[in-house]
Amino acid sequence: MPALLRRFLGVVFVLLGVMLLIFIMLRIIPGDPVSVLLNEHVNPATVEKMTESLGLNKPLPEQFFSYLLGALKGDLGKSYYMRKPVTALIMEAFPYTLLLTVLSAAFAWAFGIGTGIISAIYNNRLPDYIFRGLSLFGISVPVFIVALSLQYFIYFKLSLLPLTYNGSLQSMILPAIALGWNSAGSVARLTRSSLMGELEAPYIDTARAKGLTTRQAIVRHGLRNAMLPVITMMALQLSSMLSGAVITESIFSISGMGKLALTAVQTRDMPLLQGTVLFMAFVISMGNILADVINTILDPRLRV
Amino acid sequence: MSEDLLLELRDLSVSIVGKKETLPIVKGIDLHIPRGSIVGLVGESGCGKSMTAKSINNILPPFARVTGGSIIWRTEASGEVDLALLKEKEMRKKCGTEIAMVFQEPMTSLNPLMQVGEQIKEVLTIHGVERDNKKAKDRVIEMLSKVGIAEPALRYNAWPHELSGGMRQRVMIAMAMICQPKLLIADEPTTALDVTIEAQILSLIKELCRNNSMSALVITHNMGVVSTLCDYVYVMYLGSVVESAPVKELFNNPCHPYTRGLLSSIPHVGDNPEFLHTIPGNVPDMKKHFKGCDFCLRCSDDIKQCFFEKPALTETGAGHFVRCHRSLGA
Ligand SMILES: Nc1ncnc2c1ncn2[C@@H]1O[C@H](COP(=O)(O)OP(=O)(O)O)[C@@H](O)[C@H]1O
Ligand SMILES: [Mg+2]
Repeated sequence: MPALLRRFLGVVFVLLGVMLLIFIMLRIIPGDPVSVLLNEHVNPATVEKMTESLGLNKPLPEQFFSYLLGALKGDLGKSYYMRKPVTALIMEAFPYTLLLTVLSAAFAWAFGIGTGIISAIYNNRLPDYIFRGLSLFGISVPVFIVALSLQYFIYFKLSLLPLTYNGSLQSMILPAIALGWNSAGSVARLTRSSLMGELEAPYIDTARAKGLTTRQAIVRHGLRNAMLPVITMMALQLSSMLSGAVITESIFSISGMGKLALTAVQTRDMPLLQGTVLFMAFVISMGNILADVINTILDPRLRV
Repeated sequence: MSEDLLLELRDLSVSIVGKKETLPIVKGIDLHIPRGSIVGLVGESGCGKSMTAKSINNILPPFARVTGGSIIWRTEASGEVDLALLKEKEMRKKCGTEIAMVFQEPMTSLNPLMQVGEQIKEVLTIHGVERDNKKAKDRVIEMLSKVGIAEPALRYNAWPHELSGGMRQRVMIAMAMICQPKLLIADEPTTALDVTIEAQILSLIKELCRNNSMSALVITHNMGVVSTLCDYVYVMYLGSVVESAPVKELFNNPCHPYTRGLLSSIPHVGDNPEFLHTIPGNVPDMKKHFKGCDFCLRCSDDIKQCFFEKPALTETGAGHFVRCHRSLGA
């Protein structure tokens, strides 16, 4: 499929651009890594030695190309601060983020799609008002408030689930709900409006005229059409959850990608920050391609 | 006499039911469809033709409801049934098997995400007519070829967007015809098609009605369609029937000024294109309650009585009914 090939080629260029941008940005912001790593009152000779050993004295283009060559081989350099290969650090952190994302996506989508459908069917009646209120609440309350409230009620008041992540699956439930909360709200709203639009489509009349009940017409014909935009949205959410769980991971002390990126920023760890940003860009691009592929499978009009 | 009627709308009213007010859309119409005949329903956009049609097989949108009258359906198998009182489940059993429908927009009337053959086959599976998948598929392919689709086995797997407008309408007709219904409701079946395709589709509908002794209700705003297809016509204006007559009679002797307007709006070859005839004014707002004749504000022939009293539908000749003070010699 040449369209897919073109998309992958696009991803390569996007990643190159991201790499260049983050590389330049990290070098123009004030504060250099060496002074963070060393104590402020060391003598200049030590600073020079350190700078040289990190390769920071070489001309910028040279630094960039050696980084690029390394990245192609899967070598994203060595973390200044943690003194370990960046790739290894990412591979350690990613499974936690993946688990968190999968759980929160499962929660968000099951809840969002389910309530969205009910809302659309019971349009402007009680179930719709309830779920619409909930989803508005879902998209408008920030993650940290959801997370802290969950900790307060579920752990502190009810002692149902652990406060922070401790390696067990149960302790991942609260973080998953906190992270999925916003997505559930937006999925519910999009599902509702999309399905309501489809219910007015003439092919629903056709389905009923040939003997399907309204419910059958919705399930067999309306839902599939209504899901197309929702799937696009879900793929985007998936990649942003995978790459951006900084707040959730900090609150529940999960050592995932978000926490890794945060540490990198706090310690001016350039290779680690470059590495995590690049990896996130890669994940987001893959999410978009996945959405395209799924939509192409579902929608014959997109096939060439 | 009434035993020959397959469908009889008696004083049928349809309204948009809101929280605060009810807005009448179809205002008590009587319409008869004799067995084996093709009946036309004409009128300009928004006069309530589609709502009338959709009330028959109850596919009205959620905001609209039958608010009065009855829809009498007569068959040998089940005798006389009022479709307006039928439970949803019973109604769906009749849809697709006894009563079928073809719509105006053949593109949007087909589900874009389902192969056309599968959409036709669904009629057979949903009613349990043909449980064997292979046989059902063969039946669909046979039907596709009957409605004039070349290479039907190949077209079975086509997606709606791969077909032309005329082809899609043929698919819709195949879907309607697959269970050999007794009544075909065609709501502006050719409005979205160009003229040559229109002629083909009309002759296909006519032929299918003849060969299957099927009745049809053909909705259109095009008097040309009426003259080629129909035996009897109802002219509808603002939710009421204003004139009805056998086709020849209506064309030779139109009595209502609205019908005359519709007939003289058909352009003829040689007409001066700068003087195309139109009916002045627009369809008035249905919300405004008016005690006089609904047409009087657009009528060039109105008399004083028209402003104060609604005319009744009155028979002026054999099978010819008119709702107009003027034509009753007042
Ligand atoms: N979606 C809608 N919302 C509100 N009113 C509608 C809607 N659809 C139809 N109507 C009302 O019903 C009337 C009749 O519509 P319809 O039966 O579709 O007309 P026709 O088929 O003769 O063009 C319209 O004039 C309009 O006032
Ligand atoms: Mg219409």
